[in-house]
Formats: sequence, structure tokens, C-alpha cells
Amino acid sequence: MIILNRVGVEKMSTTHQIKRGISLFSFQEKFYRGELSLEQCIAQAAAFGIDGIEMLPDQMLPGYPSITYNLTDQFVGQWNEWMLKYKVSPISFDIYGETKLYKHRPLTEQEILDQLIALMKTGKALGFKIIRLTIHLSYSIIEKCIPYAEEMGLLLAVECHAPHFMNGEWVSKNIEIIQRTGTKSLGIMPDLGTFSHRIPTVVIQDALRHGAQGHIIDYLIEVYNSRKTPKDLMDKIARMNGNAADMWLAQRVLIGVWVYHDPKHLLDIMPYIVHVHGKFYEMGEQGEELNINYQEIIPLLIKRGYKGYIMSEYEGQRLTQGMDVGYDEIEQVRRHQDMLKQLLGEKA
Amino acid sequence: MAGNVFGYDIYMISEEGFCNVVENGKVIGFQLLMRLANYRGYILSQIEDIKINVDGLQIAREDISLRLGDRSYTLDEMADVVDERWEISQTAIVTCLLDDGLKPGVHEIKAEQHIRASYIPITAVSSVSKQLTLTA
Repeated sequence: MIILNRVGVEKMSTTHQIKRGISLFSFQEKFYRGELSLEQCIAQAAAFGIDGIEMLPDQMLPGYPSITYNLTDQFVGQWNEWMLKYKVSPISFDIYGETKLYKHRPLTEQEILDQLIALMKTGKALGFKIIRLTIHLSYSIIEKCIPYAEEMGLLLAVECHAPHFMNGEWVSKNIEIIQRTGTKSLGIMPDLGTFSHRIPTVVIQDALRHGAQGHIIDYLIEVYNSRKTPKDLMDKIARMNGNAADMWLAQRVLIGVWVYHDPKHLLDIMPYIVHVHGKFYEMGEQGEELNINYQEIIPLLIKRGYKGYIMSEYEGQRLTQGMDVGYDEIEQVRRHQDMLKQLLGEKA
Repeated sequence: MAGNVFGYDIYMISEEGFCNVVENGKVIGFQLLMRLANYRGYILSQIEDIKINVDGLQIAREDISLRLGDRSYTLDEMADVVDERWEISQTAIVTCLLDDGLKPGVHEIKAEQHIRASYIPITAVSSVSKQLTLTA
């Protein structure tokens, strides 16, 4: 029996095999602004005492002008030096694969597969273990990637991100593929943003700054909290005299940029979970995520024996850009890591 | 309904580098410096449109070109460029053809980027309005 959430209880970390990590995605605005280089992002992650990192090649890997990042031997050598210097391992490589490369025709399955194989090779060359796949890829293509992943010793992880649910079709169909093929090279990667119990605080504040009206925000919060979004939401908001900011907030509620379902749905798919995106929007001053109930989620992962990384993945920066909100990406990651340490029973 | 779920709109147009473009001794238009308003880079073929409006005047699509490093493309040419990316760390030069260019002083610029991201069902549209000062 595990006693949860007691700071300072020694040897707690031996009762589970969950590791903390950081996605460099969290430092994206500092990278964009040129305040942190790729090396400095790695160094900053390492400074929080983690040993595993994650990245989006589309975000931070140099490689212009090739779509497959055209990695030079020099860059690979440099990357490997950084990993040694900062004592971190590359864990997850978050690729997309561009299915909408052309406006006037969809790519063929073979063209998409070729792209994905090239990206998998890039991830492998940099020492990553996991390749993140997203919802826009067909089940057929995912299945066709499996033999290549097996050959390269990579683990494919399909991300379950809002608006999809752990008990939804996207996850169940992928589990069917795992069961049918018997592969050990495909798993599920939950994004904890699917457990946003409210429209994120930073989203509401951003909407207000853009002129959203109080009565419409109240209504949209009520809709979100009811977990039942009416199909004619946009018409309803228009009838309530919604302005552009109101309509944009309503649109995002409708398409499910954030969603909520009971974290207990993680339990049903636990054997297939290979990696977790610890998505967060705002860590409060008291050290808790204001929109996602980590206090409920992490104990579930411990209890069912999840083995793998929980990666800090901060996404609030895109809603607070150009503002002085009293914290930055580094401070947000610090608070998130402190919270994970506490919930995982590590000494603070 | 269009919008940008990715942020970064405020960084799209630079305060610097806004000037007229002179070719063979004649002012043929103006240019501004632009960043990708997104958290990740994109292949050029996925940049569906860039719209520039100056003081209420909409520049025609065919009069806009984008320069990245030493290569320059019209927006129509970009539609077929699948082997080149616009990274988030790169600043592009956007040139707008306009007879005699713009007068020195403050101008109201509105800019939009339309990006066809593979993984979302809508075309992401980012937009920004800024007052820029053109120096003689």
C-alpha cells in the first residue's frame, strides 16, 4: 500500500518506477525570443534534476531547408556532447508528419510513410527512444510504421490529446492494433490536458483582455463545466450578441481545445501507457495546477504501476505573451517539477 | 470563424526593417520583417497566405513575396515548395510591390498568416496590427 502525498517520507521513490522529465516545448517562447538557445533549453531542463528530455523537432531542431531536418554529422556530434555534458537522455521525439503538404491534393499513404520513416531515423540518430504520433495519422499508416520501429528499436506512442478521450475510439483502435499485431513497439501517450476540469484560467484572462463579455464567459464556463457542449453553441453565442473575442472562445470550447473526463479512465488503459505528457497551463503560487487535478491523477498512475516518464509540458505561455504575469516559463516548470516531486514522494 | 490557437501573433511583425524598396533607382514598394506566428516551423507549401494591409489598402496577393536567406518566393510559388522550411528562429523579409512606395512617417500595418497545419481541422489564421514608422 502506498501512502500518497506525504512530503519527506523516505524511500517513497522505490515504491514506483515513475520518472520526472521535461519537454523543451515548455521553454518555447524563450527559444523563440532568442533568450534560450537549444543548448540552454537542455541545460535549463537538466538544472531541475531530471534525466530525460523531450522535444519537438519542428520547433527546435535546426535543419533548414530539409523537411527531414537534414541533420549534419556535426550537429549529431554536438547533440551527443550536450547529452553527456548535461547528463540527460533524449526520451521522446514529438514528430507530426505533414499530411497536408499540398493544398490541392492529399498525400498518398506511401508519401506519408516515407516522411515518418525519415523522421524516425532522425529521432534514432539523436538517441531518442520514443516517437510521438498524433491523431491526424490513419490507423493504417500507424500499423505500417510498426515494423520500422521494431527494426530501429524505437517505441511508437500515439498521443491522446484533447479533444480525444482515453476511453474514446482513437485510443481503443490503437489498442486493437497492439493486441492484433502483438507488437511491443506501439503504446499510448496520454496528454493530461484531457483532464482540464475547467476552461484554463489563462484562457479566460486572455479572452477578457481581448474584450470578451462577462455574461458570455459565464455562460461558456457553465457549458464547459456541464461537460455537454450544445452543437449549436456558435448560434447561441451569436444570439447573445457575442463579439469576436466571445466567438473565438466559444469556437475553442466547441472544437475541444481543452476537455475533461474522469482521470479514472487512465486505469482502463494503464498496461498500454508508455509515456505521459504532463500538460499544464498555470501553476499557482501555492504550487498546484489550477486547471488539472494532478493530486488525483498521479496517485492513479502510481497505484496501477505506471512505469515511464511524466514530462512537464507547459503551454500557458501562448496565452500570456507580452504580459508581465509575475512568472516565466522557467518558474512555471520549477513549480510543476516541485509538485511532481511531492506527489511522487521524492524529497523536496 | 478563424483564429490562432498557437499565440505568437504579437511577434509577427518587427518594429525594425520597415522601409521602401528601391530597384534601379526607382521605388517599387516597401518591405517589412516578419516572423512565423507559431510555436513551430512550417514547410513553405503550408503557408497558404500572407495578407498585408497598409493604411487601409490591401496589397494584392501577387504583389507579395517572401525572402528567407538568399531565396525569394511569391506566395503562389511557395505553394509548391516542399523542401524548404520557415523556422521559428528565422526572420523573413516580406516585400510588397506598390508604385512609389510609402511616405516617411507612421503607417498602420495589418498582417495575417494562414497556415495549413496537418493535425488540426481548420486553417490557423494569425493576425496583428501595428503602427510602424518608415524612415526616409
